[in-house]
Amino acid sequence: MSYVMEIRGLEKHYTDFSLCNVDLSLAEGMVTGFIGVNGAGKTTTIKSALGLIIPDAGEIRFFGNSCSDHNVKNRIGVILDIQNFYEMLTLKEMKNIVAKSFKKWDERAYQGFISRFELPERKKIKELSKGMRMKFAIALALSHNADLLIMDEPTSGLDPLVRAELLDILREYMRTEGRTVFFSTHITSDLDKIADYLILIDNGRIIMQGEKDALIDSHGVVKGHAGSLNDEIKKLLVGFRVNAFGFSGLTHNKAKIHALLPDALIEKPSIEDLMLYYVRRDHDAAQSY
Amino acid sequence: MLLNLIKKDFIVCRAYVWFAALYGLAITIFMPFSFGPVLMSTGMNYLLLSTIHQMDDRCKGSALLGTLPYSRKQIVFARYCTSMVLFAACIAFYTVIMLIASQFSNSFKEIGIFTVEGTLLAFAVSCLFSAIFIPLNYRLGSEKARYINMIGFIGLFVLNMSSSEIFGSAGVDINVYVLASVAAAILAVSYFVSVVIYSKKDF
Repeated sequence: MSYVMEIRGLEKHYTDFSLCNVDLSLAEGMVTGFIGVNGAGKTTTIKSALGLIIPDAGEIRFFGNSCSDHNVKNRIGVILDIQNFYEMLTLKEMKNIVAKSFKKWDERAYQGFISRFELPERKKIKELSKGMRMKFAIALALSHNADLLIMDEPTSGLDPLVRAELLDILREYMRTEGRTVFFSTHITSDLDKIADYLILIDNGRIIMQGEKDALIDSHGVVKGHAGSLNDEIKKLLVGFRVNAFGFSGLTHNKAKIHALLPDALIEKPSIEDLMLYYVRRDHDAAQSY
Repeated sequence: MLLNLIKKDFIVCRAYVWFAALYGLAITIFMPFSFGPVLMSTGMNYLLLSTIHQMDDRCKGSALLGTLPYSRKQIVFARYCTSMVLFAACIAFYTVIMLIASQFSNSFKEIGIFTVEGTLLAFAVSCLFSAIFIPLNYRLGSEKARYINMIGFIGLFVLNMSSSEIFGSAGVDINVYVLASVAAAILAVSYFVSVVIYSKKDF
């Protein structure tokens, strides 16, 4: 399997937050969801990978080349959470600045996006709504034949219609062989529909990763009576919650749980279930430590 | 690629070009003396360069440029080129104003429409100004650097105004060729300082 992006031993230390020994690889042709709660380290990881933040340690490679080779960015499309555009410029002026930076700018593709999204090229960026800005960012990121698309919280703050549109565009983008998407978000429902691979980050550390379907199949959300929650069961759970109606928890040993609690309900987890239970376990472990 | 970055700087500050031009016009018309090119080029450079840095900071332009295929060295180099292009544009503008003004008043003719000495002196002062201004803005950010820049600019203005008396009374004969060469060398050193500062910045 070839990797389009590889991060090894990435470290970045701030006074109140640290990225610790982050290792991750993006396999070619996959949509990788990078999930985690706000402040988990998603943006710091992405910005470090792109060279916007200088890491304290670690190695970052794109398409086998060191990230210090800035030419590699000709093959990467980027959409950041804060859309860093010069707001006083018109869309056309902004596009001209971006277009002339890339070796393989595809004006036809760009114009296709402009008419598809009905973007007013003569309007100033500051006059656009958040949804329109996102569409403009997509148009810029996908018009230079990028092999890798990196997006940091692209759906955050967008209405469901624009989010659905973005997912459609990603599906279209992925139709061309060899293309890869790295998609950071805390809105996991978007990834249910599109992701092939998941990476979960919390407190600056990768705490879970794997193929989405395999992770969902290997885990189960257990629901049972609170009285049946003994130590043996607790050991088989990634995390659990007890309320007036009973308990619910996430397990990666469905067979054993079923043998011990034949009456318990075991459901297929959502990505959000995986994220919440693993993050809660990570926080509990950090507190007990 | 480099041209694109310089062009970007000019597009970003274009709303303030008229204001800078007005300043240049006022300096040339109302303060017609031999240090006109110095005052004009330094002032316009200050107004426009500080606008570019402010817009970069406000719109997180460095983060945008960081996602494009430019090295940090190229981005810094482009900013120094912008300052030099601004200087050239200021001198051209000054010459045009002087050319027009001299048709109406002899005092402008006496100063001389374009003198090599005046231009070299303006070049030296512009180089020194940029050599301090650009790394300071990269290091502190445009907001913090603005006040220091303002003090520096006013100091430069006062120095320019009184330089003829200072140098005249001290009997100093300035060799503008040497001065321009030294200033250019300082600007080159400043570029390397800026590269070091900018290379360590997080966006």
